[in-house]
Amino acid sequence: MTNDDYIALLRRDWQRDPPSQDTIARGFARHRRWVLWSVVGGLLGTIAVLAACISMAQMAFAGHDALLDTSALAFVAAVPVILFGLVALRGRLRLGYDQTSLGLLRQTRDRVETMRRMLVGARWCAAILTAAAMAVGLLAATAHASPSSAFLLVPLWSGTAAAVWLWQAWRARELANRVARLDAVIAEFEAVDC
Amino acid sequence: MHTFETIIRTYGPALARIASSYEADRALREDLLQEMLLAIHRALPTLRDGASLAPFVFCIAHNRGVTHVLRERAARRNAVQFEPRDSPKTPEESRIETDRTRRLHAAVRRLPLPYRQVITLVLEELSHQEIAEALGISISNVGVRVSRAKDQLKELLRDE
Repeated sequence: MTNDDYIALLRRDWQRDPPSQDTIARGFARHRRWVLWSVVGGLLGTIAVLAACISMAQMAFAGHDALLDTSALAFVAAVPVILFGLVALRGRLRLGYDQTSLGLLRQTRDRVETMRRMLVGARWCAAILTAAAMAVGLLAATAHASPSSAFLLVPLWSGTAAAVWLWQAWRARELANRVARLDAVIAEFEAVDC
Repeated sequence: MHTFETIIRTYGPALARIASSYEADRALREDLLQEMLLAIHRALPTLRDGASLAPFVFCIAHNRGVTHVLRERAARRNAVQFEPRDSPKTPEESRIETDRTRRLHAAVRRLPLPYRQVITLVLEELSHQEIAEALGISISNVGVRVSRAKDQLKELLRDE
């Protein structure tokens, strides 16, 4: 059997029983709607958090309330996390066209490394939230803020800080594993051309 | 100017097979196919006038496939066998053919990614020139990879 005969035989088996084009088209229409809504939802959520952050900062600049100042600081500290979300969102929208698989893998690796570096922002965010919670506690203790506000804000911010810290630790581990997987696949491609 | 409907009509079944070379699980394979189609749909306006459609479509499909492999290696899902649609043949003929098709798809999935990419495009009847264009490698490199992929595939099919 010649090579061409062998390929022809494989082709016959490979192309046997193709799926219906109508089913593919219907599935695609459904999938496209779902993706559109999930992207719009993510974008709206990010815009809402950013708007809240900006309005808090504005309120802090307008008045001289210690509690508001601290709140604004806490919200501004959340900006790195929001930016991280935006980078991830942009990554989802990337086309991955007009480049080789190896190029795409290397580009993805660079992006993952950037995301890993950006996690420093989340660590700062957690530290600032913790400091803000302590500051509110101190303000309440020295009668510069109402104890009821402190009762609400201190556990809220401390809890958020702990959650952000745990999240970044989990995310850092996940991204490190992703880099390792990327390196393995990149090596698979590079080995072929040796 | 190519419409997306034309792409689905012309390449839909081929893309489904390319998806099967990256994923054995039926539901995940369906998701991957939809991701490939969505990426092609988004990239379609960037296709230059006069550019060949097949390399454009399969370049995106394979890049999505590679991304999928990365994700699935993380999830470490257990693969299940490819199950093609039943055909109107005698039960015995169907059984033998379905079995051969299943074995071939499983063997292709076991090839290293660079070989898997070239062999699926050969099986989809692309020329070496089109494969080179789709994968961004030289024609001589395509020849080398096809030859190695074929050897590995023969061995895998013999082993089963």
